[in-house]
Amino acid sequence: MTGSPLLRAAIALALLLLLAWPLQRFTTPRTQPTTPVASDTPSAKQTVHLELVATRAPFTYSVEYLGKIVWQGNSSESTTAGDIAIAFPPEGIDLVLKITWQQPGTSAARLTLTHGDSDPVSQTLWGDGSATQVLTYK
Amino acid sequence: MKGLFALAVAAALTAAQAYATEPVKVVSFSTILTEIASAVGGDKVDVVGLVKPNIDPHEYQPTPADLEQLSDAQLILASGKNLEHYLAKLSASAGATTQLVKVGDHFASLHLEESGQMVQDPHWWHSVGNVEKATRVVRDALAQIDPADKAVFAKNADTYLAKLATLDEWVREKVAELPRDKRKLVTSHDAFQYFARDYGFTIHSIEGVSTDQEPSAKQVNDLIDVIRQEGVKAIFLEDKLNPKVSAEITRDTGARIGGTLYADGLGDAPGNTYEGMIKHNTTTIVDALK
Repeated sequence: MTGSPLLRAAIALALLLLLAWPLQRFTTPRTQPTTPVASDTPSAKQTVHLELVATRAPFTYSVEYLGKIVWQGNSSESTTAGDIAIAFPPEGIDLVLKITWQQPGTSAARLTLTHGDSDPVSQTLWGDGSATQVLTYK
Repeated sequence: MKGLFALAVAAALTAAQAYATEPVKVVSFSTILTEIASAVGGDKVDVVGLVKPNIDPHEYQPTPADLEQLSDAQLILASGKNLEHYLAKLSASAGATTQLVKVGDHFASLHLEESGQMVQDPHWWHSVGNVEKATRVVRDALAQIDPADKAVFAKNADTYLAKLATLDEWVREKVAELPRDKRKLVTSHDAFQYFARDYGFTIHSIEGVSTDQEPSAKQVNDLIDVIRQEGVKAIFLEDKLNPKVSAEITRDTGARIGGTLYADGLGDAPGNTYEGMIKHNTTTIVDALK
């Protein structure tokens, strides 16, 4: 190996400086916050109008949202309606409708949901005596 | 002469009856298909599961003893979708009349990237709907081999299908406990696409399709970014994931380990039955992400 020791030292120093940034990046533990960036708080609640129409009456019904009953009752008429306050994220919601008819035989029920300025959205289920179904609204 | 002829006919009929009452010999390369074949076939089948519970089907290779089982099998059930890379080599071991059914090839595939190529996702059993289709495929295959017991297979299949319908409804109700905007699934093995499709989840995997792949530093960093951006609360592991990788992810994101999932088939209880596996996976996922 030839050349001035000073020149060789300068080259070595330059190489070390070049490597310093990537070495520092790969060896330093991450220091970012350990909490997720996205918020865990649920979306703000809003009033949602529900209308349940059944082919037979009387019937009993319940509607669950996120595992909790948010609307329930008995109806002697074929149509019943009510308002609930729930979060309605852009991804939509799932409601679990459980209905039991007093008369046997095949029956159907339609649950129509209206929220804000959006158009009503309807989902239908069928059952013999009773029925349970997850209904998705977006 | 007439007496001899009658004797021969009687002997032939007796032999035919004996053959008809012999159970159909089924060999299965999937723990899920072993359960389905047993449920549909009942006492009309003799099912041998070569891939046992807790065995990784991605890494399984048939042994000489396994190959012997194939020699007198009437029906071989495979998951299909290219999961069993060894199937082509098995034809020499199987009998001339053996029927091979790659069950998963009978319904549509999702795809995922493996080593830069798009491949069929073989983990179809995480969709209860797919298992319903698989049940019908197995029922029809058994009926073709043993037409005399077609009605038995149909009745048993209907019973099993009714259980699956109840299970599917249970999963939908359980998943409904989780807001749709929180259905973000991060797992150590890219095995849950069919579950995600059916039940409204977005999926991110730490590794690729096979359990023998180790994630690269870039893959881990990308995943950390996704977990942060999406606000994912929990990730789910298989035993085989390098613990350093999961520790880095949880440390850097604040997400916690949500639990262990059955990814590649049946295992120990509660995942020793299909219903138990699906209920365990669903409960683990939903309760951790709430």
